[in-house]
Amino acid sequence: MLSLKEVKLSRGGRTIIEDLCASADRGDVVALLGPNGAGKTTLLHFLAGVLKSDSGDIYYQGSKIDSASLDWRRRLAYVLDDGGIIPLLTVAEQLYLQSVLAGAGHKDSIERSRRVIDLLELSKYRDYRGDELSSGLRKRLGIGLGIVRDADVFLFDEPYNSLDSQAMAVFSRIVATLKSRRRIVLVASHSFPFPDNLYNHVWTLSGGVVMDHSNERQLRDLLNPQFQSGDSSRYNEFDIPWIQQST
Amino acid sequence: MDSAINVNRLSRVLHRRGTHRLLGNPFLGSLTAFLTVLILIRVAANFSIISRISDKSSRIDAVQVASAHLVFLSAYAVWVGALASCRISLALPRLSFVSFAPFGRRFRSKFTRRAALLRPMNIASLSIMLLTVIVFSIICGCWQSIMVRGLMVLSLTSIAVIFVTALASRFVRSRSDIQILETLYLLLLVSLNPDIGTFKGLASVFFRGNYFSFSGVLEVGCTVALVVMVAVVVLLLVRALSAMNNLFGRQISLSPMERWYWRFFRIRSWAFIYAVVTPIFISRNVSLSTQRWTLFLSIVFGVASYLYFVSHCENILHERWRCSLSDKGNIKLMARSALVHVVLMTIPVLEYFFIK
Repeated sequence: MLSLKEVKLSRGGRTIIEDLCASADRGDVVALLGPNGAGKTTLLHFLAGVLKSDSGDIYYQGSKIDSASLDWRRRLAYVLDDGGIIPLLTVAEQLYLQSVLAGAGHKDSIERSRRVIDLLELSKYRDYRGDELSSGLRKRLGIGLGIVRDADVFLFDEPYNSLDSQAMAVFSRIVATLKSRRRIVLVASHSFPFPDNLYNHVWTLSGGVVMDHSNERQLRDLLNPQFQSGDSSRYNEFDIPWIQQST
Repeated sequence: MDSAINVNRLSRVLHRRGTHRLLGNPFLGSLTAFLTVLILIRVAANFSIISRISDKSSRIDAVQVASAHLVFLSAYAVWVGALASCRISLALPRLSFVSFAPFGRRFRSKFTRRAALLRPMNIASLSIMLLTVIVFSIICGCWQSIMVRGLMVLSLTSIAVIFVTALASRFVRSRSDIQILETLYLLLLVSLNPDIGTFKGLASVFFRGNYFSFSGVLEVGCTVALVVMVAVVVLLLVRALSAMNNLFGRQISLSPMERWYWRFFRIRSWAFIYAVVTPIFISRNVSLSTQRWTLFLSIVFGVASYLYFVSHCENILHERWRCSLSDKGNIKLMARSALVHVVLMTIPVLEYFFIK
């Protein structure tokens, strides 16, 4: 279980989040909801170890975590708002390098990159450099960079921005796959386009306060009025062999 | 729709749109046109004087006169090349990725390269060289010596054009900036006033009343030409390899970090370094201490540039992926790029010890 206890975050002397207590279990998909400037990215930055908290800690499986430690960084995949791409490398090279940096071997990394390229329909752009991609393609590549490696916790910052409807559906299938493999997924967005129950937690950020909602009615009200229970199975899961079922 | 044809067609349209002198400020446009005519009249008058003197069988230092005009006109060609290229580049919209995406990948860089390399060289410098060689071979029959110097000046001009274009494309942002640069540069050339006079009994060219022999630069110039030729051959080889690679669908086995390295430094950065240091090591006119300092600076540049590359990678990986090259097992990813860098760095050292 991932828990945040009494976390206080501030930026430039301004308190962004105050006294945050929230938790997510394995297989939980958390929608981090809030208007622009509410502190969604700040919270993800904190979880990824980019930002230090004023007070409070992260606990994972009962142990206190040093968010800057190598061990935590290896357990975590963080996809930035702009995709987090490297401008001078091609799509295929970035996926390969990310996989190698995560500890996979040469052949395994080539296979992973090929699979992710197929999955995200990036075959046409595999030899395009990062600085040659449009914002939607950058976002797709960013998602690919997140899942080309295995991790316990996946953080996605505004993944729906710039994506076309087909790519959004692919992203939802990816999230469904991660959910079924019992990974913790946090998706920060100011709007969630799909009326489904992919998400089983909503953390709402408003005025520095974070509320954790998990009952069905609350989720329906917050995410989408057309929310339908029990239809996450409509997403066919992807075959991502390096992300195995977690016990 | 064939994108290659469209790129060519669009390229021609943008050339026409970009090169028209009077598209900017009309007054500055007229002024630069007037200064250009003044320069051409000056050169034509010199050629006419030389031709008249030769009829009267006076003694002429034909090689000096030809070299002086080659250098002067090539300096003009640098302007023609570099500033015209910048003007053409400015004809492209800033967000050309969006505007020209249907016309092929990396249209802007392809177009700028074409504007910088093809246009100035084939029109200005080659015609100047041929004209000078023809004139002086008719007058004095010393075409071989002039041809060698012409090639040398041509090489120097091409390097200068590339350098000035690269520099100007970074700093020049509008047509009026280019026109001001044009005007100032042309005023400088006009003020140099290449005139015919007598030096040690031979008719020679004087710049602002000063005599220059133009023989000392021959050795350095020839070396620069050689280095440029070698660099061109290497670039052609690389291009041929890349074409073969595309043809046979095979990927040359380079790791992402190596590719990152090559895209960061580019082969032409190294060609530029070699073009600068090689003449200094080879020349007998350069003192030993200068050569030592050059070697020292090239080593410092080599080490510093690699450290800069490593810190660039480290910053990007940390900021974007929360990874570090210093993490356990990652340092080996840099090994091949480090090896390549050491090999490339060693070349000036070898030149210093063996060619010198």
